[in-house]
Amino acid sequence: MIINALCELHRNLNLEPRKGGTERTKAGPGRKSSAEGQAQAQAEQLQSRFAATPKKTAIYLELAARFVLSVSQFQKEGRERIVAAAREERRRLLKFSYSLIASSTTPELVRQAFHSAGLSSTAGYPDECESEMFITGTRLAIAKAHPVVIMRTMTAYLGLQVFDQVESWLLEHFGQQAKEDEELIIPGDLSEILSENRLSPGQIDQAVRMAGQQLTAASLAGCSRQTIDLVKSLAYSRLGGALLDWNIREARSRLSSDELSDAQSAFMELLGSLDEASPTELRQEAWSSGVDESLVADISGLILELDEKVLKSVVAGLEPALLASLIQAMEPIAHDRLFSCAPSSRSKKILNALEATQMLSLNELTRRAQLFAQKVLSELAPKTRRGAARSLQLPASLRQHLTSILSRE
Amino acid sequence: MIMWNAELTKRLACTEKEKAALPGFVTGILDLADRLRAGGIKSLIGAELEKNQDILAYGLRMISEGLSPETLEEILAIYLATSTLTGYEFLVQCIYVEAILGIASGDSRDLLLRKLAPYCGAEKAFALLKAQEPQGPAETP
Repeated sequence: MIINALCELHRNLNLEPRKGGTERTKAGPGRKSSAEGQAQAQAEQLQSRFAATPKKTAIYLELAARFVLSVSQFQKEGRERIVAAAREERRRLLKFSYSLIASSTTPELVRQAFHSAGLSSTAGYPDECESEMFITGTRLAIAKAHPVVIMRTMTAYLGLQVFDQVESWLLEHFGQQAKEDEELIIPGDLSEILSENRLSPGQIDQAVRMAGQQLTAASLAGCSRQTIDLVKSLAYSRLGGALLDWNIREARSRLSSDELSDAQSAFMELLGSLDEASPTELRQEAWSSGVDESLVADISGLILELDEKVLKSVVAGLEPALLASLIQAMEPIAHDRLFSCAPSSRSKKILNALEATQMLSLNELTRRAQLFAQKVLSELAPKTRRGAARSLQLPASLRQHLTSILSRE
Repeated sequence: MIMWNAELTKRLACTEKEKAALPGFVTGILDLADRLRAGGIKSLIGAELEKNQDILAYGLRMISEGLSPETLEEILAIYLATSTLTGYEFLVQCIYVEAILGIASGDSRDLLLRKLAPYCGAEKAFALLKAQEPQGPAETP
């Protein structure tokens, strides 16, 4: 909530009206005749109280740029780089910022450190704008923020007037697209789903926002360059695309193939939730169109109602390929139960078998369901001769599912 | 937890007449967010928003730069806190920023409405929620 962030800033900044300042209250709706008038009034400018002469603004921008480039080199080359920058720097604020970054200070202590060094406005430093810019920049650098984030945040103190200028500078220094990056292809359906034109640009854009940069980058890290470019063209500016490339590189170096694959699945699920008839659902529809719904209900019911111990024995005693093919005729909730009863190594085998599974005809599915039901019966059957003499005691619904599956032709 | 600051409260203060315009203003933002959800962020950037160089246009550009909602919150709060605006115009910019953060998080229309409505004041917020959700359960103050 922006109010909380504003409260924080109002505590830290000296926001008393300045002598001869430009504090102003613009006309409200009661005094403006049309919405257009209002928009124009808002559009005029959101001038910063730190707005300075062009010459002074250029100095602030130059300082911020110098700082961000040093931080960028530090992030690439290590601590020695920022120590060297601190040694060479003559400007007190920059020198102190570099020293703090080189030390093991936490981001929370940065403001206090500036205050103690007499470099904050509350400690008497004469240039509040410069001081706030470097407190913010140093805190973000210590928190390992991307240089683009640091530059955008530092220059926010100068107002929106420098926005475009900062963008040009960022594009020049950090806007390189990663065309030369090697592709890493993780098998999955994400590329296909995104390129099918089944989803609107709005849905893809929305999924990107909901997923956040880290998940989006991780899920695209295993996709082709073509897919990455498609997402960039729909949801990112040129600078945003470069930042995404950076995050993708980071994800590839930090995450395992399994984790990238998990990220793809999570992103697909997100896309599915945005689409009433999502690709996942469509695939399920395509599968289920050839499947007898009552067979699905019986298999799912059987799996859900079986005692956990019995189900574990059944899963352990059947071929992963058979279980994988049966998954075609199960409700999702039954998948979960089935996998929860399989040790992780067996789950992996079932998933591998699932990838290789072809769509089966109803007859083939029925045969596999019957094998499954027979295995269930053999697990339920008494193991002693004495017990075998008695009739099998089963809950009515379980008996019904078994009978229904085994009586099919 | 919602924080409170006397100076900020004073800065946000505006007249009843001005407050009366806020529900319509919020509805306009919700409609704009709907268009964004349908066509994606690029459909708005470069279109009519470019004409209005207000914080909304800049905010959308920053969303397309891939900045996270947390980063956006920090940057936009700096723009707001260091601006020279007060009263109704400041409040309007705060609502824009709240909307930008909601859009950056991929909020649905309903969630965005619930985030923006409180800026209209309790009474008008409930009326706005009711007007926007005719089928939903009626909420009373």
